[in-house]
Amino acid sequence: MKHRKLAVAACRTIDEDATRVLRALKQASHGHVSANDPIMEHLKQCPEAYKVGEILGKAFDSLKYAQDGSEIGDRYLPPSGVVIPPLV
Amino acid sequence: MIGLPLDVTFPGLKGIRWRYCTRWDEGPAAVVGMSLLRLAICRPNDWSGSAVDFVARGFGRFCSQNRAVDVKRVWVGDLRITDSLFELTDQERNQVEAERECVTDHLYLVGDYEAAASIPIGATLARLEAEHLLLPAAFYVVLTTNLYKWMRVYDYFDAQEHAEMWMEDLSDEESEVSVYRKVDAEIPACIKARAKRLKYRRARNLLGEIQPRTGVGRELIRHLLEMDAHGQGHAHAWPGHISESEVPGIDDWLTDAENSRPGCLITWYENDAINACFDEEAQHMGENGPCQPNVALPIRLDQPTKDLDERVRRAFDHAGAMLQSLASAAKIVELIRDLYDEYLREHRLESGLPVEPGAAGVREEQL
Repeated sequence: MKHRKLAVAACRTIDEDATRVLRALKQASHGHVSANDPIMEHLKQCPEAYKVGEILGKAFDSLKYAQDGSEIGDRYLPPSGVVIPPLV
Repeated sequence: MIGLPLDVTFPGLKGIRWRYCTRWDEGPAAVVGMSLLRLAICRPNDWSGSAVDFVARGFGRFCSQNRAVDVKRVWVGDLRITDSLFELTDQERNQVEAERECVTDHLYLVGDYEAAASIPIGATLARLEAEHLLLPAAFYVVLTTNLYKWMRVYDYFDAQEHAEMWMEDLSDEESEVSVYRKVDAEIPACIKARAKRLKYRRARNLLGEIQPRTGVGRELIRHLLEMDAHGQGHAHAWPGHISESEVPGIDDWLTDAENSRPGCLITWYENDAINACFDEEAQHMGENGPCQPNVALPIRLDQPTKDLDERVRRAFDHAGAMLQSLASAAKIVELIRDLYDEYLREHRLESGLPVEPGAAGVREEQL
């Protein structure tokens, strides 16, 4: 009896999860940003975190395409003193 | 030398995906993702907030369950879900996305090979001939018929065609000493006499009837019958099979594209005449346009749910059969390479000659 109840509860959770994901996918198929996207949640709570992406993006671009006479292998770090907000 | 500590704090990135995509990618992936969830190929816990990531996780698990690890031991290529039939560079992709006015209404399941796997089959055929006179031809016919379901195979037929074309321009003296002449001369008697006349069904029955005495003979046949069973009911999904009504513009694209790159090269032994013809052809592959992928199954996204699910299910059935079949084929190729190694060791005249079979990437120089 107990096992049956547990099984029913597990099925319900799986169905609920599937429905939730289907809903999020449907939103994404219409071009809407998912409210369940963890990174969007982080960005909402900490807008400064955009800077992290910006700095890292530039660093990676520089590594990929050496620019202005710079050479691949140079160090790319933000200026000393910059505090990049945590994104955890 | 230890420098001064930098006054910079980097964030700890936890629970963040490594892949982020534009909405051009997310929309189509979400449509396929819903279908994969309904078909239980994707699971709710695959969801990380991105539709592309969701599909990638489900697809990755599907491939693992269908022995992708075994496949990779021999076959160098990929199976991917993509919005383009041919590979694009970053620059080309950016250009396509900049010009795109709406989200794509098609995705494709595409299978392609970066290199042709080397299959030096001569020593294996000799072993099989010792078991039964008809066994080499039966083995060759069933193996190539099954490989053709998933890839373009380059073997002595292709080499003969290439040789005939080039010999037309040679004088009799030149032709006599050319490598092209050797293509025909090097075909083993057991194949030349029987392989062309032996039909697949008869060859398949022979494999079931003949009981090899040696362990390696039994292993080869067991894996080949296994490969054959996985491929039952499947035909090669060439891009040429896609109709203009299914994908508008496909005919123009196919006209401009070149033939697929072969997924394997079947030689009698390495660096033989077939290998020489292949090397000549490989130098010019892709020069006059993009090469067609070996496998392409379109998935039209703007159709009723039931039809979409059926299309996706069929595409994944095909992918599963292809992986399972190529996993068995990988075992066969490994046995063939072992037998070739053994042959080289036994017939080595000079010490220091390499006995390892060449890398699968025999076409690497032109990629």
